[in-house]
Amino acid sequence: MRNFKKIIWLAVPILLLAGALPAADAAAVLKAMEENTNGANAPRDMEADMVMTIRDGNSVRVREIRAWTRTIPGKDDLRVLKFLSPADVRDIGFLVLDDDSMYIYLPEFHRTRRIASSSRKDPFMGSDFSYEDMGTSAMSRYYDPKMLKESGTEWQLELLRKAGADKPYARIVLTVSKASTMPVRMELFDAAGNLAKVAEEISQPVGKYQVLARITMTHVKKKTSTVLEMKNIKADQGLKDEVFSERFLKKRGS
Amino acid sequence: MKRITCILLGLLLIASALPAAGKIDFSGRVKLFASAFLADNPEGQFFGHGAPDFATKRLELRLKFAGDLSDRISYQVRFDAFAYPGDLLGGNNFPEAGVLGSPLSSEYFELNLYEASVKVADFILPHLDLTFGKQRIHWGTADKMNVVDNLNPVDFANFFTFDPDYFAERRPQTALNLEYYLGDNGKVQLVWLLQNPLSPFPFGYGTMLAKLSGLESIRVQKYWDRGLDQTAIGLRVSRTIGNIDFAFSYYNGNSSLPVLKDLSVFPAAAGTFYYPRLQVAGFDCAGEFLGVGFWGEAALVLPENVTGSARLPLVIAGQAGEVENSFRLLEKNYWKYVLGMDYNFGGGFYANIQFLHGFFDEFAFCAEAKKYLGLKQGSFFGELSNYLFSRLEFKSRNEKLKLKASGLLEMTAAGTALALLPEAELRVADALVIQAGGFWLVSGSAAKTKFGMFKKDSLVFLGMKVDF
Repeated sequence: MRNFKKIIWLAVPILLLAGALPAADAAAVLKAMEENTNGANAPRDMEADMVMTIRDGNSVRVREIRAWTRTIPGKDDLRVLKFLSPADVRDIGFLVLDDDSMYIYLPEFHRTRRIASSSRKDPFMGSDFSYEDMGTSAMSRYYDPKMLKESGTEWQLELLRKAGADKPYARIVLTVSKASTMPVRMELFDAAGNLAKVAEEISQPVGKYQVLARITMTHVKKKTSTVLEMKNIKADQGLKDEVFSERFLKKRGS
Repeated sequence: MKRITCILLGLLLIASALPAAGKIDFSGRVKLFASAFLADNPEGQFFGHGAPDFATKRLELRLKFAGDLSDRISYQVRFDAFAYPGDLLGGNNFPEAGVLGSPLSSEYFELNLYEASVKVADFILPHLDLTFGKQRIHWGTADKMNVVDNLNPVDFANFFTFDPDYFAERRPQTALNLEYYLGDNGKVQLVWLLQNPLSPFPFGYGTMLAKLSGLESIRVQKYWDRGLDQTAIGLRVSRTIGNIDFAFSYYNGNSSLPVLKDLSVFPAAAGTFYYPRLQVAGFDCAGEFLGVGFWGEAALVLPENVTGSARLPLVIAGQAGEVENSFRLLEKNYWKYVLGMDYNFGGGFYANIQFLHGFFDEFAFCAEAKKYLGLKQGSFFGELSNYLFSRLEFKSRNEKLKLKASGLLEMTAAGTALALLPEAELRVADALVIQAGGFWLVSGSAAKTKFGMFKKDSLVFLGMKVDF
């Protein structure tokens, strides 16, 4: 579930896509998708500008963010986000080292503060994404997949949360494109079985990869939505370790 | 006014002349903040007032310039300007204009260089950053109540305005700050302050303190500005192990808050305050367990051996004289510490609680100092006491509305004081925020507790700010 969430950018050699998984079982489909989103077929790292548009009734708020990600197959991705606008959040930064190590940088006080994992379920900067959604880890570690249906163009999987998994969504209905083996839609259900959010995802090629370039997250009950668009995506730049550090978080501009 | 105009003109000229040096990020804030007392307190220990007298009334303008001179060198400068609407009549004069019709004399205005620093990355060595200039240095892991942080003095002037943007915040200092990153979030930091860190107090504080202490005069004994050996240094080594951040630190410099050192009662009661030098060995950590965030700081304070004195009247055989008692003022060493935790309950609810032993202005005194100088718990610059700080927050899902209920419980051997600080924050639009709240002393005695002195000083505030 996270893959999509994350704004993320994982890719897939298009050649791999079509026909590679004909009448596949659910686990194989999920595994193939994760290879593209945050596995061996994903960019090793990525840098991009993001525009977050939050719609709540007639209210529209726009946030500009610069993001850096490094994919580590089998582990949580590393991520740094820095806000560029509006003015009251400018230079606020987030560093995600793993699910249990998140930091926020408050430029007004030049202060870096650890965020408790209990905050992961909170909305991310007033959007329909939660901190958890902005994180990065493979869904197969926390969910058991089951094939719901298959059409000529898509697979639809049901993901059920594993016992003891510390994840907010109890059930996810995941639609995967056969053309790209990338997620195109996720329906996220809460513990009570109610549909909480829907994420619609659009991928685009970046070099040899397919990358999630636009995610629309709709909060079903609140009837609000947030669109996250990525621009100027650069893959495999060889981002150094120090990008994912407190030092970089505090660095001006970047 | 001329000076301020020149500075602003200079800034504009620099800004216009620097495009070749790279893009300059310009940002700022305009904020109006006003607070008013809720009760009469004409004979109040802390600034006599009526109700609803203004407690604070100011317009604030922040201007911040930042930019990169190269890949490795960046700078930032922040000016804070304050105007005081309504401060028209000063002394016995009419609100006359200054020279050439300048309104300075009738429209009071201050300009402060809040920050001005240059950062050089990979200075001499890879992974070594140097920041020089006036800067805010982060030191410790607690939520504002950092007992290990002696580098950045607490802004006591704003502490008493209860402006939430300044409450218990610290002032930047002019320093050389070296940070060497060890990879994997380890760091060694060495700071050299070129000035003695001193906490600012609100206007009239000295007079109030004299009144509180029953003194007719107060003298402050200065020792700083003598030489290099009187400056302050700090060293901090930090590392993340597992999901816990650890740090050890050392500080050698002056206390940013004073202590009553000498007292004489003849011919008039007079006190001398002094900023003792301290060595502080600190430890701090932060992490989480089962989703609960926690942090702790402990500071072992080793103050210099200061001799205090009390000259008391003595009558022998009908002759008035005085006797001087000298004694060690501060304990050889003592501990200050803070323990805290926070938890996010979901749905926008958040709780934060901290236990503090030793407020910013408190010391551990020797028995004779307590006896002769009357130093005790529950007084300004008094003996170490215990405090409990708590904060409950609710944040709407779109973060347009934030509600906070903060509490402060002071616990001394003689009694307790409880203060509440409710606050609401409404984000009317991006970058435009309205704040409303107050300070309300629920219980506490002025004779037994420090915050009990504010019993008749409860206030409400309203703030409006826009960031650009």
